[in-house]
Amino acid sequence: MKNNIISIGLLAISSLSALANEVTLYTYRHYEADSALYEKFTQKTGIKVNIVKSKADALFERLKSEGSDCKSDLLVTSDAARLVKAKNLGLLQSVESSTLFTNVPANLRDEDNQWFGITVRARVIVYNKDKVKAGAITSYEDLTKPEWKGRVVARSSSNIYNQSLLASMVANKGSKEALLWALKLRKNMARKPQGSDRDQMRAVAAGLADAAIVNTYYIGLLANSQNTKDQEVASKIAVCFPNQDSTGTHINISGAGICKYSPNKANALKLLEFLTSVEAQSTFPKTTSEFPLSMKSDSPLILAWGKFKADNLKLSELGKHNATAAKLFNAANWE
Amino acid sequence: MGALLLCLLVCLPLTFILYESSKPSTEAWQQLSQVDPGGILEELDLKEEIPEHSRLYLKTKNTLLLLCSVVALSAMAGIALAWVVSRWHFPLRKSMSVCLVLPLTIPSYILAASYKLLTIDTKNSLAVWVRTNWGQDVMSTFDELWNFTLATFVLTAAFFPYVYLAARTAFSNLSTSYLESSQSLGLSSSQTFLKVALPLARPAIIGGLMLVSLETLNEFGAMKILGIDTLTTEIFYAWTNLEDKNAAIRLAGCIMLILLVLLIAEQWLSGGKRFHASRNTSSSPTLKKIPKFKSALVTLSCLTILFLAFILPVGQLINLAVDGLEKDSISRFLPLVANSLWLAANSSVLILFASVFLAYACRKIPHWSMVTLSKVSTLGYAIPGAILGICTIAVIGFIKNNTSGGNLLDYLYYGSSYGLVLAYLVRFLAVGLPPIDAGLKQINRNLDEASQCLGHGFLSTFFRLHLPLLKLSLSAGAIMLFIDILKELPLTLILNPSNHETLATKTYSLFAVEERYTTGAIPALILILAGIMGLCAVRYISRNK
Amino acid sequence: MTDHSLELKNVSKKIGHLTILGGVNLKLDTGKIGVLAGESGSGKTTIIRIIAGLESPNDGEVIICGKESATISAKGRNVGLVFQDYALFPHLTVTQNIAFGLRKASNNEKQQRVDSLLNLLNLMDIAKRFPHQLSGGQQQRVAIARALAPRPAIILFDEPFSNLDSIQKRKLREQIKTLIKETKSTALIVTHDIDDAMRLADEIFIIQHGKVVQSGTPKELRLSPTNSYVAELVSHGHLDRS
Repeated sequence: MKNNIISIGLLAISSLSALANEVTLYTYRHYEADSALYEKFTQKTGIKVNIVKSKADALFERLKSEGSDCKSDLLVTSDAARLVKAKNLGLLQSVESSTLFTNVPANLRDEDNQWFGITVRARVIVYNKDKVKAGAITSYEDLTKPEWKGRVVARSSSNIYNQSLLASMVANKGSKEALLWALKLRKNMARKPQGSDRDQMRAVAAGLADAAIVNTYYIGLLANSQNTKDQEVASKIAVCFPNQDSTGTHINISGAGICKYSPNKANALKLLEFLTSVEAQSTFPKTTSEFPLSMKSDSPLILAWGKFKADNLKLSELGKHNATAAKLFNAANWE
Repeated sequence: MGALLLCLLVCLPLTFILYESSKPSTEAWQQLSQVDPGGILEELDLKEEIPEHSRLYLKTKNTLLLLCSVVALSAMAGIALAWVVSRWHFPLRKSMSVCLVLPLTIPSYILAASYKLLTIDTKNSLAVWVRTNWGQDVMSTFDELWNFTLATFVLTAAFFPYVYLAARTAFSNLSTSYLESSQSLGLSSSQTFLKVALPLARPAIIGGLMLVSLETLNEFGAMKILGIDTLTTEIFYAWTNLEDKNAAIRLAGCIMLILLVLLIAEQWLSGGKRFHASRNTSSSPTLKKIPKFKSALVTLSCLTILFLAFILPVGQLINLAVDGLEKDSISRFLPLVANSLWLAANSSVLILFASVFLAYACRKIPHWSMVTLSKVSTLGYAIPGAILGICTIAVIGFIKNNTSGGNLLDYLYYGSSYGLVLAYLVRFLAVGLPPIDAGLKQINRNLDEASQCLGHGFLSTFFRLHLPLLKLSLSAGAIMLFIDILKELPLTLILNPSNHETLATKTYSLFAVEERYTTGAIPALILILAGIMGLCAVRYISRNK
Repeated sequence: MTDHSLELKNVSKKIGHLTILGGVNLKLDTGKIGVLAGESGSGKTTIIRIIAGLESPNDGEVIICGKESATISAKGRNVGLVFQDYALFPHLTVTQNIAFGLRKASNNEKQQRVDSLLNLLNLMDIAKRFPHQLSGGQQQRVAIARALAPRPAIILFDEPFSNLDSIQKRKLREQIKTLIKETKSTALIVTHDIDDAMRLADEIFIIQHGKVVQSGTPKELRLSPTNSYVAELVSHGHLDRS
């Protein structure tokens, strides 16, 4: 009985892969809005999208284990550092696509065209409107000043967004300056690092701290939440895009790369091009509150934030300094 | 022979852990185990910033502290509740006896998220109040203390039913004659409890406490949500941040070490004094009448515990789900229900089958090596699910590269969820085996011989004698397995085939990743409901047969 | 083909360095009641376990109805065994317990056989009860009926009276004797009580230190004991001198 099921299953799989018009993606973006986009893609092209969701590092392990007998066509994950890691592990391949080259700005894609950004987020400072004057904070470095003692909160350093932020500092100012920043900021924290970016905003709104470091889309998600408490939190805080006079605000991407041994490479490329197209890009600000690759949107929230100067560091640098950043955080005792 | 193969399958990841741990330590391991690793601070002349202890020391301390407090609290709650429920007469006793198992149906990460949501505002305002009165440093300590207390509370609420279940069975099976003879010897009822009932129920209680310890040791989701660093969260830090699997696996080795100590302690505590208490044959033990005031108090305490561990968090989820249902319909989660139930049912059956097989092998070949092998095969439960998942993937890759069995493996792990079922087997054998083993041990060997003499062979004896006699143990094992698999997250997340989601993974991605609590509450509630239905089904079956 | 139902030739059993049986020889004719009498620890229970096929001897032959049986498993030997603690199956009723060994019989045959045994052992009234609802004597009778059901070539009793009081025991002793004679069974009974042995046996085998020291009818034993141990035993009545 069981043997029968297995053999039928095997048959079904082999026949499927023979005539399938499909694309399989391994993704660490768990947003339901993404699924809607993939459905739109299927409607347009007739290509079926198979999704495997897991943690990024688990997906890497899976791809490594599959080797040349790869099941996945496209690897989607947040944070450039992860994409660089996938590239260094030899999991991705280079593609030539003029569509991608025009849709994705050069600093948001790999030099060897192995990965491409899909959405953009900035890591910014939020502060309590009642306690901090607008313009009192202008840079990440401001938060390390003595007057901020006991007034800052941030999440754990094991979070990759923090790691990438510190990696950008290593790239821009060298590791000594980066370490000193982490060390001083940690000493200014109101409490041990913990929780999500939303939790930091809740703490700021409650008056437990006066400023926090968070990703932009979390502010949007909080403001657009159905929950009245979330909206209340969002109304109490204001956003500062730091380092406008120097390096610019640290930005990062969610991105994707075509797997080295992709069985449906052409379809994967189509999907990637679709995700960077105007049609798909215009949805991100509304659904996930992320910036589109062009940074231009008519979403009220993004309009309200206005234009800002983004750090134009090549994002591949983040991957290069990722390991250093982890060690520096450890040395700075930032849990 | 088959038992050997099964053990090998189960021990494969364990061997992998041992093998990896035996490799020379890496730089990442230094990051974990040294203060000021690489001398960065010293080089920059920041010696005063060098912390007193290494990460490893702090996380181990945290883990042990948490382990001790959760185990102690679970023991107190579980034993006390089991005792009053099985021995005292008070209002609502019967419904309490059943309902106190319900907290098991809430996954610990949902419980944690639910309590975090419930308490975060209070905590934040209290923290502000503490700072205004006692200053910044006290607030920081208050914050850590609060997190630790909440984590202890959440884990206790999630896991105490393991102790409660074990102790309840032991207490209600206790022959009344022991208790009566003790009281006739002039011991007070509390002395009787401490000197007679507790020692007799000890093996069962320690079994329950072992489960609590294992769950606490490899808890990841709840710890992350509540901001507690333990060895298990450190494993993920080593794996994803330091990008060093070896260090991660070494940490898993550390957890196994703690476990080994616990296992030895268990043997020492319960192994030395294994007695076969005679069983109570009458179906309803005599319940002790207690004064009205006291009985009201007992009911109230039971209700309070049930309220905190089940009603309050579920109420919170219902509240959220009502909001969520304005935008979402239940129907889109229904396919997930099918996935989850299919997986849980299939895996439970397979694991029970394997457990019976192993327990049987131990009965037929009572050699020490067989017994040790079966003990070792239950260690899979102590490996954090994610590490087990990674080891599984690594092992599959290894086999595929070195043999030609790739197609079958592909089918198992990528084309179907059978691979996941196999992984569950490795992980949850520890849940299935003990009740079966205990049940089988209670069957007198004379019965086997009588059956043989009456012309029944091995299989016939098994089906006509052992299986019917194991019915209760099987249903007890089935409850635990079904619910545990329904809730399982990290393994499922890593080994899920494409387009396959379960209630647990959906709840996780909505609740913990997207933090969309209102929508996430819907699959969470369905998950809990499925668990409750599983409990009811097993209860119904074991009553009717 | 001899008319011995059972013959043991030089059967020995060792566990490690310990010799349990050192070459046991015995013959039992068809239709006879044999009794193995000896102190506890003398090896008598091991002998019947070897006959039943539950243990295998290190050396020697076990011949049941003319067939060398040492290689046949307990399942295929057609030997009935009544356990000291009865070993009734707790999940089955009296009827189901008795029918347990009737594997190959048709339902009709099963029914008839069980009914006749229920009648024979006076178990009709408790046919639907479960073992834990029975008295010690009743359990004993169910165990005997169960062992007799498949019409074994030989039926073995391990200390059948040890759990009974003296009145029950006297009654059952007579019942067993009549039953065995009526059903024309061959029986081998293990006991440590020489009184039981003398009253039941056609042939007694006195076991000491894993050997048969004397065998014969009760009369022969009384008249001509071969050594002082047997002599003392036969005249004093009880074996366990504790």
